[in-house]
Amino acid sequence: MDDEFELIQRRKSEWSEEFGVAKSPKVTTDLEIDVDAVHAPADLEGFDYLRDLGFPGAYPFTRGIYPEMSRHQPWRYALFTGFDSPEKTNERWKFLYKAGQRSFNIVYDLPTHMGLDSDDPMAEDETGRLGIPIDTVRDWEALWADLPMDMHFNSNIETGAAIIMAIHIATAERRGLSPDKLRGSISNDPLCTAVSKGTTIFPIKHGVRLATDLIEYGVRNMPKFYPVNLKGVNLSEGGSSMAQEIGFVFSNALCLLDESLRRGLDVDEVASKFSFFCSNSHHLFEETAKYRAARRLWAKLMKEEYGATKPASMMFRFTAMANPLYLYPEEPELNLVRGALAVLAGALGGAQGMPNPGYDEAYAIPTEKSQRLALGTMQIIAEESNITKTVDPLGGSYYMEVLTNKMEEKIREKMEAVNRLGGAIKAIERGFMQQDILDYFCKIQDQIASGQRVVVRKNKYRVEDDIPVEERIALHSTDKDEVSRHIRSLRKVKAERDNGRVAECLRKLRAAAVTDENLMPGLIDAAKANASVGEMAGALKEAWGAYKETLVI
Amino acid sequence: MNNRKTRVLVAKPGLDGHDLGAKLIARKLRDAGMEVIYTGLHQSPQDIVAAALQEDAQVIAVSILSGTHLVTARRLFEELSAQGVRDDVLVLFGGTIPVRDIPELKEIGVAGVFPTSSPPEKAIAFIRERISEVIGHD
Repeated sequence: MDDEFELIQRRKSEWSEEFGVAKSPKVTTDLEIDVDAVHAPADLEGFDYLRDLGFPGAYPFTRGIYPEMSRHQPWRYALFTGFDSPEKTNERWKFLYKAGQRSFNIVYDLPTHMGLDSDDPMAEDETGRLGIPIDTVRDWEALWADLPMDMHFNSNIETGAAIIMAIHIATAERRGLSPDKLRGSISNDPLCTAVSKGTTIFPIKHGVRLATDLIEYGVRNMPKFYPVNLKGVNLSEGGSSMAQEIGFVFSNALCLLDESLRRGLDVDEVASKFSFFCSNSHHLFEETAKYRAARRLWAKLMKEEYGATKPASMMFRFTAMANPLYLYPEEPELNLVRGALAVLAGALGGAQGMPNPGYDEAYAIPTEKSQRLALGTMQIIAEESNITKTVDPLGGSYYMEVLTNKMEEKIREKMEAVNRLGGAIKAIERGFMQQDILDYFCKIQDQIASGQRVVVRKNKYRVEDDIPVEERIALHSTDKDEVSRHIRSLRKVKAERDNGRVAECLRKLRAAAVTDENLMPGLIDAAKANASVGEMAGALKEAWGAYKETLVI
Repeated sequence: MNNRKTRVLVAKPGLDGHDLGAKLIARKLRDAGMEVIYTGLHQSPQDIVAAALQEDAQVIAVSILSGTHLVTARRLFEELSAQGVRDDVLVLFGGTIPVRDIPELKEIGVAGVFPTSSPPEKAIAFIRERISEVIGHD
């Protein structure tokens, strides 16, 4: 075997000299990994199939977390949807449900993210703009009208997750569904928003405590629910490299895991409830390698460093989304192609679910037309293209395995950099993750500006036409009357509810916030009493103060 | 010719947390030799104007991606007028701004608008060209 390796290596060098390949300019990937003109077995010295890849559904899960992945059933189609009001979003949901979507990705407007009510002065002109405004149980009921509340969904809310979950639980109870029946996942990752997206409400340590309260509640009461869905996507949408995305999201995950273990939970109880949400560019092979490396590394971390014993605890479960940062306004229809390539990377990388963004995502929230195209794109890739007939079809490609190994090293380097600073909280408070990501983003922008990185129609093959984007494609705009109607409904709830009961719930919540008591029961009580998101977040802010970001430029 | 360095306040108003554009432009303006102060997220128009006065900025570069640019611009200019400094600063807006909104932004008082995908060099050149309008007003 060694002789064969040496022979191949020698022949490759000879070939490289003979054909002049050795003298051509160096080619590298996004992470400055050197890529040869062709890869061969000799590039994988020490590679051990059973140790490094194994079989899907078994440790180290490099090839996939399930034995047959998408062979018999496609991944979850779950577009991001949320705008104007719960009622308007419900109409779009029902449309998507009829079009074959059996899971939703809920998007909230900025006031909801920031723990503000729709009528808060700070919310002026923001309510219903970038997502759904959610204030009270009334809104949640309207959102789920005519739809089964035990269906799968992912709730994209990071720091206010515990509050939204309390509203979900309170609403489900009105429909006779107990927490153990509820399925789906919720972001509940206050660390990623402190790095990027900026929707961090509470100081980080209190945010981590609240997130862990929800994890603990979920582990004990919601066997079908994933109470944390770590958002690598916020980092990659915020400009990170592939290694930064996975390395930092793993560091953040370990912070929440450690916090859960300190409460006496068992690693297998908690890690088996972790899930992830990442995004990827259309750099097909590198992104596929990223997901394969992430799966292997997470399995090793859980088994070797945390002593997990259940396979479910070692599985890197993830949603993959085309990164809207790599969708461009120049000739926007071309984003359909970029999106399709990114979906392919997610599929080849073994994603469990995908929300494909609309081609108009670079400037507005998607219209029904662009969502239909996004959903259809995934459906074609999953069910027409035959790529799902076998699991991990790129596995065993010399190039793919070289990339996967290098990617794992690069991810580990990022995790080690965080560890040297004392873990995720300290690394974020010192601005390390933020600065590291911004440096990378600026480098990529310089490459685009210089033309080194090609963006068709932006810096190469430009076609000069003066048709503004909004005349080329129909863009969504906020329905202001609908938003006003929504705000009136909030005022009506506040006028008609038992305000004495609300005040009492909020008083108890404030009091519990300064103890170690799990806050979920108090939040659920408040939600049942029709307390609003702004009131619940407000009570916690009174106890904890507000988050102050670490500025970097 | 005034030799004072151009001072730019890069501002993120409202609840929008998409700050990549703001940080990128801040860095590029700094690299172009200007003095740059970045406000950070979630600033009200009052915060922004107060910071501009305190920092003695001649330029306010507002980055906004959430679609609230029209209301924000109106509130910002109300506050600039209230503080009596409306003509002392050059206000630039950048971000996800549809072309159809540019005339209204200009009418409100915004000097230059740089929608998504505008190269930073355009904003730098714009500031250099127009800075004389506000120098000497302070």
